[in-house]
Amino acid sequence: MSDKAFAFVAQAANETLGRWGTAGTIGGDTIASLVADGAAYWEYGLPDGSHLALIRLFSPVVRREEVFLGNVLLNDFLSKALIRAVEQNDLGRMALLANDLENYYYLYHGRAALEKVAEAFRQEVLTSLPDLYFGDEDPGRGIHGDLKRMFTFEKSDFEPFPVYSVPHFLARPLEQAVQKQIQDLLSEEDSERSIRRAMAALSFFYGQTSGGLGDAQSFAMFLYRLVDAYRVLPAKRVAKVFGIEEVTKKEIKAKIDAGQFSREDLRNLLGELLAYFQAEIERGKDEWLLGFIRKDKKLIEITPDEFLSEVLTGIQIGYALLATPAIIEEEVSCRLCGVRFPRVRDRFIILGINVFRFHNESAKKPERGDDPNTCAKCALLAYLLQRVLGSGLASVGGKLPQLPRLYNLVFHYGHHDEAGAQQIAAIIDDLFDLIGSFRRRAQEEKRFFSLEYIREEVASRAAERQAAGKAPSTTEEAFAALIADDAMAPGLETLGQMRTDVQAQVLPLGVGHYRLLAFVLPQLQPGSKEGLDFVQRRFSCSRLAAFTLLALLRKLCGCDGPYYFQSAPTLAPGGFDTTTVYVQGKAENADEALRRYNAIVNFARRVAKWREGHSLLADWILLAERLEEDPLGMFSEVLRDSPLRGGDNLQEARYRRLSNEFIKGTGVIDGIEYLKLMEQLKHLQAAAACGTTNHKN
Amino acid sequence: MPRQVNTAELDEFCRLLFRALDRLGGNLLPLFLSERPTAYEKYPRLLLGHIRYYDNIEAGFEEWKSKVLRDASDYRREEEFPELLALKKWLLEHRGLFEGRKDNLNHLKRSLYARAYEYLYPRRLLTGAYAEANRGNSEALEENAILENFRRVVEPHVAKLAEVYGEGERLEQIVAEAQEFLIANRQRYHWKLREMEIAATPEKVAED
Repeated sequence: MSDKAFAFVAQAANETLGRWGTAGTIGGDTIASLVADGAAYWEYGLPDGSHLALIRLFSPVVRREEVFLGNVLLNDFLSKALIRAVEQNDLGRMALLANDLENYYYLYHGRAALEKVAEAFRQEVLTSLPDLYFGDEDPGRGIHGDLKRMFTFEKSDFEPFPVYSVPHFLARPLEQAVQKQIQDLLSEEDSERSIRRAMAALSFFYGQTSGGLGDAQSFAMFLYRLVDAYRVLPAKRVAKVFGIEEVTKKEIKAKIDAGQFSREDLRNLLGELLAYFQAEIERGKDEWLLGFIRKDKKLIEITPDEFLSEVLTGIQIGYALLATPAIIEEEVSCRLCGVRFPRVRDRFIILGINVFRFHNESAKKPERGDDPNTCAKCALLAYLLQRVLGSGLASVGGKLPQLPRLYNLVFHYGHHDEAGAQQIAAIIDDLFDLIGSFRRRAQEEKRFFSLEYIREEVASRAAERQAAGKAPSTTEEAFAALIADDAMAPGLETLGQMRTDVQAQVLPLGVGHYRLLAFVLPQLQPGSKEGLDFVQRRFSCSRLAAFTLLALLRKLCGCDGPYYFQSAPTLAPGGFDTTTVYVQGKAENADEALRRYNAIVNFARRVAKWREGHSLLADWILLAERLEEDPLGMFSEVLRDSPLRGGDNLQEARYRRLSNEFIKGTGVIDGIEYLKLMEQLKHLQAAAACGTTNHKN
Repeated sequence: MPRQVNTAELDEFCRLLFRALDRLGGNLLPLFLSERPTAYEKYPRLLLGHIRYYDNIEAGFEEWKSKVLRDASDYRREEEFPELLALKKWLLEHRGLFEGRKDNLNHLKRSLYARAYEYLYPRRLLTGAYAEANRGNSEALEENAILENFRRVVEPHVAKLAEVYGEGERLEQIVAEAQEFLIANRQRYHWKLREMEIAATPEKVAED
């Protein structure tokens, strides 16, 4: 066991014991040793009849992209709910000492038996469910994200909101949350987009029918039927808003599509409609309560106790299991977790682009048809993910369904408190903003956007400022230094290729000073001729590309804590060493990896040539991978297909050249940069060969 | 299971091979860097092809040798013959690297251009730069003049190469080999530069 690695646990335990006035009873080292050994429960009686206990909350994480982040967020919520449960029920005191994604270690002082703590925890989770679904962001309670991010849809023909994730008993809180969101949208100043969002939300949540005369899928139809079928609105009122003679769906739709309506009048009309629905629901007229959603049984038909049991299945407090999975004969298990009973049908808004991928179990039972394949808990996890990332339209097989947004997830352990995490998030936001502003400028100037473009721009701005006798700001200086650093260049370029419609986030998980942070970064933008997840897949498969991103994050946070990409942080010896990056489950020394791969990645980045409709990032990642695999062979190919000689056709060459300076008397461009890379590649090869020999020995 | 390519030994082989070809003159390796990649690889590829065909070092090398000697410079064929013998000796001592080792041969074939470029670029950079700096000055291509001035003339390029190879023995070897090559091939440079000079002379002046 690495004592040093768990020293922070010992320190946290000693601090907690000191705060509770129980210092000297047990040593922090004992606790650290128990945590390192993965102890589930350990108790130490005190003379006053109370006891100190180390309690582990274990909640397994489903390793599927569709729900992974949601599961991490749920675990954070559960970990904080346990502390609240103990404190609010006067069961004693509890402090979180350390955690990874699945294991949370608490120190407890009190007189309650574990079973009583477990029961209080169940009640606390049940009580907090509406907040988990619809509450405001509160990282202190483990409530992440914001419902606002889920109300960015402007169409409702495909389910734009994950109503399939919401249990039936939360219908009323859902409707209240919807009302609030629509009110917020309507109160936004002079924004056509927010009005369109409000219209889509109104028709989806209050529409009564679907199909041919479906009003839940089209606001124009909904408005028409509110006049014609439900007699809620007078025709004159609608005609005035849109400036039409006769109120028909076609006329309303034409006006909405063309944006020909009085915003003020429409906003007032929508506000009045919302108030009407609210009044009717309060009067007990349930048909307006999530109209078609409830009729079509889109909400999960489940009782609170059943739902709680399903959410807590497999979770363990100390030695106590909170719930065990119900085994139902002849039924398939959830296609995501493989554990629980499926209750939710396959839908784009829950499963994303993978929704119609082959599912072995259900394919063997064709008679099941459109029966559910996903369990209630996984549906909840998909919902939590969307609270953080939102959803967006995507073209799939000629349709435009609303899909949960995907993400890049990086974990990091470090000495960061709440404020520190927020500071890192702010730095990343600033970086995205700056890169975004340069991207827009490049588009305006019709120039190719790349890191080299940013470097040129920054240099020219600095020169202008110097000429004007102005001093650069600290932020500008820091940014200039960052982009000038070749080691950071590939990471910055990766950041520059991320989607701009999703905000990057840094989520602190757990509590204390040695904190687990989750960096949630947008996915990469594909070229116009590439599949939705083409670039992202290439990035995810490349260790080299991952290292470059981690190197950048490391530099931004400025600490030597471990980073994880496609790896889960584990609170076990060897699982969270400092100065280490864990990529695809393999640990590597961060400095070493950066030194080793930086030359290759930077070379690939500089010679890769942009192709119409393709992402340059995907091309240089592939080239870097090939260079690593067969350095000299690939280097030959690059040289062969680069316009090195005078008179070579620049358009036809497959790669860009590293220099435009021709050396007199040679007829070729300056090749010093190529020679430098050759030397670096040879060193890498020699080091790799050395490693192999040592390994064999 | 694929075997590990013997990188270090293959590097050594390439150094010997390129050195031998370069010293044998002719067009075994290009005089100017602006030649197409095939000019860099032609003779090395032939050797690998023959070894692969016979799967025997002696047979492959002998067939290649006769071709190379036919194409080598008339003036240098005999003088540099020991280079070929040294190469053959090395190959025989390391026959295990080639016979029955398609992986090594394939790796070499794939990487030949990069290896040849790495060998030739610094050397031809220096010789080309010297010749360019003395264009129109035929005396500068005399042996004594080269011995006296080469290092000084190409110093800026040597400094750039030092960024890659450092200031050590390796760089000195490159400079020495370049100088040696220039002395041995000064007539070719002389001829080529004169040709370039005529081509560059304005028509009016030529008529006068």
